[in-house]
Amino acid sequence: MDFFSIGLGLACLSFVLGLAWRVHGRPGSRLPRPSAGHGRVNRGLAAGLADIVLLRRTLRGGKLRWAGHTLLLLGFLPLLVLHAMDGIVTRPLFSGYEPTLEPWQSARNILGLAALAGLGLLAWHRGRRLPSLSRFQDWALLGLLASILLTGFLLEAAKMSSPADFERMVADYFPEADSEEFIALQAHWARENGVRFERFLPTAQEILEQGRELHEDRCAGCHAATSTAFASRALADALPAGIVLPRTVPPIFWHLHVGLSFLALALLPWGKFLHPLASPANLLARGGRRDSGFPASALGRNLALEACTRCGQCSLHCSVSPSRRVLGNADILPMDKLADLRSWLDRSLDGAPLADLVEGSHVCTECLRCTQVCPAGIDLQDLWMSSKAALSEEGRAGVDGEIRKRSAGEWARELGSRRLGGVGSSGPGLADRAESFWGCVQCTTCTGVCPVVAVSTDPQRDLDLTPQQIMNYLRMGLKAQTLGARMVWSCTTCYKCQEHCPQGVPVADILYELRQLGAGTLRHKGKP
Amino acid sequence: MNTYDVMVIGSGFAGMAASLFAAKRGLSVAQAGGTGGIDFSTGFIDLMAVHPVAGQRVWEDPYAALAALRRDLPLHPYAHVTDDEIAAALGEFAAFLGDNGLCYTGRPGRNTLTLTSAGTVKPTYLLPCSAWGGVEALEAKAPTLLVDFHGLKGISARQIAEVRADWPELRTARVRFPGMGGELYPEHMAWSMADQARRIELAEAVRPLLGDARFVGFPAIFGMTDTMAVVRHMEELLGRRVFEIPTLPPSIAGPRLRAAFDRGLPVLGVRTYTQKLVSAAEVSDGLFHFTAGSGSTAVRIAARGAVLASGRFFGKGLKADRHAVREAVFDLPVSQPGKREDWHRAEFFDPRGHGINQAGLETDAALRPLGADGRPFHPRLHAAGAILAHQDWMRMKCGAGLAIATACKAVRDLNQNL
Amino acid sequence: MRYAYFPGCKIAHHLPAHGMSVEAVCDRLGIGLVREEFTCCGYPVRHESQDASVFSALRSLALAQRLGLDLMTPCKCCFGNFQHARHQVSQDENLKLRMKNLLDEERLPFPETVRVHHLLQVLDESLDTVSKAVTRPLRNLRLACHYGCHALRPAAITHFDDPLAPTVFERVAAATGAVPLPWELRLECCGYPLRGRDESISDLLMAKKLASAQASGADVLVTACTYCQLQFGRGGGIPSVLFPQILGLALGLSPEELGLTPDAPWLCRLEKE
Repeated sequence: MDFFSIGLGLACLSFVLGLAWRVHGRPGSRLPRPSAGHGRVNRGLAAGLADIVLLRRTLRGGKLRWAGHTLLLLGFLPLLVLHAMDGIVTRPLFSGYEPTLEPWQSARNILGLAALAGLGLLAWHRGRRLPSLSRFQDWALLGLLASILLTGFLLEAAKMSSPADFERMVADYFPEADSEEFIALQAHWARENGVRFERFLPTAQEILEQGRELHEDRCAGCHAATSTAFASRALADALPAGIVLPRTVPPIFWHLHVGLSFLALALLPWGKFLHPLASPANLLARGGRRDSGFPASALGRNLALEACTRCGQCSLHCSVSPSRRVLGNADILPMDKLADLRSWLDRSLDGAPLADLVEGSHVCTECLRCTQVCPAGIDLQDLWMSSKAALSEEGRAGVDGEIRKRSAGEWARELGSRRLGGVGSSGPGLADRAESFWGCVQCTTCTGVCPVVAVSTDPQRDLDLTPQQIMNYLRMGLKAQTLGARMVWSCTTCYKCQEHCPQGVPVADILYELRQLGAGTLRHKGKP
Repeated sequence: MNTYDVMVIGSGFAGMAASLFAAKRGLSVAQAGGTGGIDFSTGFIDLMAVHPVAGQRVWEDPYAALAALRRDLPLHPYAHVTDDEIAAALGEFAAFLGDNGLCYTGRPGRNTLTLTSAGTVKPTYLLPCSAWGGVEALEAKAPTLLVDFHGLKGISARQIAEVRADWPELRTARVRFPGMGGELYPEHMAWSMADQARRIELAEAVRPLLGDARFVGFPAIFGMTDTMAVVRHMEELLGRRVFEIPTLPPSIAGPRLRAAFDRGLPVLGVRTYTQKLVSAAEVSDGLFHFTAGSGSTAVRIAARGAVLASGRFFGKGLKADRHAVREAVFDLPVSQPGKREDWHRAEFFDPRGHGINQAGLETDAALRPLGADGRPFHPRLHAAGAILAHQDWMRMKCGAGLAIATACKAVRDLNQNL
Repeated sequence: MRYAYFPGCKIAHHLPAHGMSVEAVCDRLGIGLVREEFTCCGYPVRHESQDASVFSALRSLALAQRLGLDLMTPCKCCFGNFQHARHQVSQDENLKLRMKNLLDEERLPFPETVRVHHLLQVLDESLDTVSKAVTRPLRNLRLACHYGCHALRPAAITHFDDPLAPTVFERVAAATGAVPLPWELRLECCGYPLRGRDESISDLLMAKKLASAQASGADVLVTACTYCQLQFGRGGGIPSVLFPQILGLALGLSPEELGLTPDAPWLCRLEKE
């Protein structure tokens, strides 16, 4: 077993096992069942294909990313098929195929450069527009692909300038060469094809002519001029004159190039490395749709969960991004929320990260924009709505849900000993200021007009406190006594109390402030 | 910016009446003011009942009381309004309320003694039709059942019965209000009575307790915008005369009046700025420029004339600091006791009242408040209602009547000058 | 007349008919709607954080200011929160400073001058144009106009109309030829803000409103707010319709163009004319 077979075997094993793990889905999904299907699975096949082939959704997100992806795909895919798999694809298809012949040699260089240019554009875009959204795996994928391509060029350059490879070829294909012929051929290859030899070589015209003839006779059938591999040749020529590569160099680059390629294959099922497979699959399943309500199956939803390319478009366009800026929770934005949602579904999310996911889930306004801009066609809307329901179902209903888990009295006991700050960072809020309540004569107008008190069958039992009682507690400085009261959390924010107050007490604003304070208190709970 | 004919400052009885009268006379009207005045009303429209307050003499004939008042207290604002003007103003006011679902009644030229939530009786001139049954029951000392509710504060049937020892056939009962428990609030109960099913449930709860009662009295909770329909339905369900007793303010009476004006004034074209107090006023080019509200939320309103009906201290028309009382909008001179010590008498419940209760604006005969020079501050600025000096509406039992009559007078005189 | 058009978050997925009908009506009336990629108005996050809510609002206002246009929204909750946020920063210098810093990071201007309008106000300001554009007066239709809390109150901050005796909705509605009726609970809350928080109270508030609207004798309950419509859309009994849809019908647009189901029973009343 050699390096290649072992490497390929391991890479394939990793690929197959990883893929199986990701494809088999999440047993006992925590998400509620998708609603009944629309029965439109195949109608958008053409649109789905067009999305894949033309990268139409990517184009809507921006020309730069589209150009980067298009160049990368146009360069990388032919390299993958025609170069990496030439033994099973290219050779059977094209008689007389030799990788060192034209047009393959120049094509490889063009494709490699295109792919590198694409990667360059993507890296530039990411560095410029998504620095804060990018994580290790984003840069790792770009870096790995770029490394494969660069080691490819380096390998080619090393091979073309390496005397060892020349000697091996001569030994294989021109074993009868005498030393004069050998020198003539060396001289020709050194001059025409950039091979570096340790020894000094003649430059006499007739010797070069002899070398050329020998080349035509013995080599040219399999070797186009290395100058057609223009990029690699330029790389080789860039070596300072007189430097000869040690014989160990080409094998090192070969191992690097092949090894990195195997690594990419092995990593393919992991993280965003799968997106070259999962995103097109998801696009096909979506059939060109940009609205929500699809997929209608658990399988489709799992595909959607895997299809993220981490391109950041959703997060760049997210409607609640201002809240992310203020609250600082990365899970408010879709891209990171999706990653944590996956972890939660895999039952590997708890503690503070789970609290972040819950907050992100509740801050989302379900505006559909992420779903519309997602280049991978993920029905994020469906994921957000179903996961919000699922989280609530498991007792993670956000601030409101946490507060309602305990009685007003329990909260009063817990919070009574704590220093409750104001809201924002502007110092004491309305609830802390005596001036807010100076006018209050406890006339019960606020309670009398309150529609929530009106529909409760027993205000004391259902709401703990009525609005005017809350105002009374607050003016006595008993803020902790009010924070858990149902009245605070079941206020419908209609502002009738405030509007009708004959004394100008900002009742509804104060109730809002208490909720903000409760949310802030929970947010900082357990965090430094 | 629109220029209105009249800016009405205040939204209590006087302000509402001024807006109503001005709009009815074809004037364009803007009105600004807070809640409070109307919203805390008992719902009774007193005209004039007690004079002199020191002697606590209660008059059955309000016009006779007015005649005595004008003779004894020539500075009283009623001295500027004739009986005919008062009668016409009250009639127009009550008709407007009637048109907007709030029925009022009374005896022409006579005060009526009506039952209060404390069990006492008070003289008033016009009262909600829904309370009229109580007047008849009280006068006849008829067999009557008074019902109150678990959880409703501010009214106790048993207390009323104890106070009314002169009414042996008054029985009481306390029931659960259907569909609600714990502490009850009149406005919520009133809204819920819009539901016919709720009335039937209530009648079911009361029916076994009726006995020989001919009248059944309830706390005032019978609907918000169509009280008499609810009362008649209850009468039909119970087979007895049914009446309401007003609860302590804030009771349902205030919101009912508020609802009637909120419904009726915009129809007359009045532009209302509710919950905006007029914070500043200036006069230029013969126009008033008012600022309603404060800070960034203020609005500017221009008007050719104005009626100052901003009330007294609770209405924020007058402001008292440590040493003096000031008028809030124009900083008009306020007639007041000379020294801080004279604001109040030694005893809070002194029947003669306190000096501070008579503080307010001096006016000419056309109800134009006087400036520092003793002449009308502005030819088209009139004042109405509780802000006027030399009256103690609470003790004289003349609050709403004075407000309505002076508003009518102010509007009419203003209209002649526009 | 051109406005920066702020549809709000809920229209795209939850109530596309609102967006459709607003756009169709504005197009017919010559009201220019300029698109911008706005972010949330900050209303939903106001329960969680004052700063997040105020910044969300100001950021969208800043985008409108950069366009040099006033902002128009068909949603009462968006409208209310914009007004509220501006009031908050006007009252609190520290808050204003924090907001300015956040806006600076994106090189956005502090929105000093941009004004916020609700669709109803825009229509009210050009009521003559609206009346003249009506080609099919809806004389048979009786409306119960639902005001929506967050535009109406607190009036000192929202400046929408008189908070206790508002008239703008009925005035604009009457321009369609339909008959707006008075009804008891027209200024009460629809209950949507308690969706997902306290479902039972939310349901009770909605049921009360619908019963009151029905009792008024109206054919439809009319809303001018995405959230209110989402709420009433869940209820039974009297149908709830978006005002731009009503106006659109009066302007001669077809039900389909307005996101209406053409076989809705209440539409039959119009056919009788």
